[in-house]
Amino acid sequence: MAVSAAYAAAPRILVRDRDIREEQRALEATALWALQFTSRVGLAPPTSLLLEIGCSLKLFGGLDALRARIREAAAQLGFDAVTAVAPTPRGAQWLARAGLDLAIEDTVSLHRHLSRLPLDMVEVEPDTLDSLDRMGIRTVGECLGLPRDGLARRFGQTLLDALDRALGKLPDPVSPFVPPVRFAASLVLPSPVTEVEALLFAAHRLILQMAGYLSARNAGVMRLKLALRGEDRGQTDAIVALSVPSRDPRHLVNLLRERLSSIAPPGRIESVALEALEITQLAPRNFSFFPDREQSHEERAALVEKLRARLGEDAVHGLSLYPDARPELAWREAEPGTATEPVLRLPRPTWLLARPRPLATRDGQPWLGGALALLDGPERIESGWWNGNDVQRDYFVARDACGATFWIYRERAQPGGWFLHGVFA
Amino acid sequence: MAAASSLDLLLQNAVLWRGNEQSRAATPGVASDFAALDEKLGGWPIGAVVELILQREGVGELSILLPALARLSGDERWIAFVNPPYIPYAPALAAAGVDIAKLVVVRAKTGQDALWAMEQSLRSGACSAALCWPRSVTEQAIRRLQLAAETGPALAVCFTVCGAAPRTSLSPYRLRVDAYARGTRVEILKRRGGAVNAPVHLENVVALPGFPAPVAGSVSAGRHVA
Repeated sequence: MAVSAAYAAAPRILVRDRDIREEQRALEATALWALQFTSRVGLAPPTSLLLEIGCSLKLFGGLDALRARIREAAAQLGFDAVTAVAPTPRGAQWLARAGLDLAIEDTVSLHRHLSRLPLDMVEVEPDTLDSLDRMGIRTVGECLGLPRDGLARRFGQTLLDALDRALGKLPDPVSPFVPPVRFAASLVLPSPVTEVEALLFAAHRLILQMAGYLSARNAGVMRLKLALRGEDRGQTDAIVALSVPSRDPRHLVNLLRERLSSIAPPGRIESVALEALEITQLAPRNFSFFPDREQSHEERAALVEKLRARLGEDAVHGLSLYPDARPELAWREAEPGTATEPVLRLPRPTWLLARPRPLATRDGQPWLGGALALLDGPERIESGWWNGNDVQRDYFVARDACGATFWIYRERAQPGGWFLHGVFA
Repeated sequence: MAAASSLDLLLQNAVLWRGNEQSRAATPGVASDFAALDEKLGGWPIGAVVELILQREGVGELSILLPALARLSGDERWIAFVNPPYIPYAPALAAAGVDIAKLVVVRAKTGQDALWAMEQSLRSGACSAALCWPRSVTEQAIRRLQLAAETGPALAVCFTVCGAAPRTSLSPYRLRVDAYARGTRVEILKRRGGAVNAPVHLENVVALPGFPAPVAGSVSAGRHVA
């Protein structure tokens, strides 16, 4: 149909130029996704993919279940897929191109169905098609009815070979699609968006592709990056780090949602690109005697990931002990779950101030909104002179008139003074 | 005489609902190891938000929870501290018997993020306890935390400084914590099964040098100088 005719029929349509390169990119991205169904995927440009599914039937619960699953997954990816099944790759391709959602399992019915197809499904020169059309030959069947030697003489071997391959009379090897070493995929949005949910909708498609790619490699992603490109060419990267490798699209989308809601996107976003920065082989699932325990381990890892995705990597940490006499160095931040040996059972305040706070004094005695009574002390702590970070302090437990209890010290080095260092909460 | 015997009769009737008894049976709790508190609360409740309203900091507000946290840290799950006002001091927590490998400290920049983190921690089922120190808290936020605490289920404690707490609240447990001459005073403003009139006095809650660290499982009302 001409563009002018289309406008006449529907004046409000939007006309876009066809982008062959973009189509090829989309086909390759879909091939990555299709690797989750079979390890043998072939490209049949411009719009078809060939999947060798003979070996996958058992795994996916039969032909009907597999086709339903492929259609459903393709719909999530934003494609309206026709799934045609045939004993030969070319036969399946022609049926699919003709829009026939069929499953044919034997060559006899394949012959019958292919015969009804119009000839323009066959990959031959346009001139050949024209000549056949003038002869009144418009279907594959009519063409097959013609004498073979006459066809070969007039149109060359190409036409005959194509027909024979489709019918399985000649071998038809499909060159397998080789997935790239790294996963990266991008998507240009139909119109610029600012809302997180709209970005996630686009990211979801890319994540599904990545999930297919990862599943073909029996791998999970540890770190992924979603690059948001704005209209003004600005770019913002959302990086998600996992503590346990995963390829579960729902989990990954949830993590991205938290991450995206915490960063300000640079204005209106035009395109998104997903990249797997780090992938790891998934260990085969252990059948544990303690399934609850294993599940709980996953829940714990998932919580830390979720919090980090929204609040930032540094916002979540665990605690560990460190053998140092200086109170501020007797603990360290650690990855949650890090076990440390208990060092000393010294009584210490439950809260430590990040920096000791200078205290006022009255008549040389420490003062915190009132006089402080010294309950216990001094506990002398002297350490660190060898690395310049030295500490010379006398610690006391002090209580104010209202009964609140504090950990304070007197600085022994010049210029001295009293400091608040902890709270017994 | 007749009145007394009819009361006795009434009390023997199983249909009669008695608030005090019920409160202990309804919500499972983890022993606080302070006998006076356990008697009134039935332990720290699991699956319900406990609001601790502080008159001021440093009155033993964390220490009254430490024996329970020590016990809960025997479990595999995390204990989350969301936006604590200072550094939770690992040596002190370890000395109180808490397995610090189970502690997760979360620092959120905004109050909204802090409440979100608390909610996630409670809801995830990955935490045996989650404690948060929001700068201010609304009635609605407490309601969300309450729903999350029920899902977990976990010990959920929300510390607010007096004045920042909402006037009315849907949390089933509200306690005011203050110091008195010999230790920590806890007023139970609200609990499942009705209010308690007299405050609970806990002696020597705070582990001071020279005092033994709390031992999980002890039933004394407080620790005394030996």
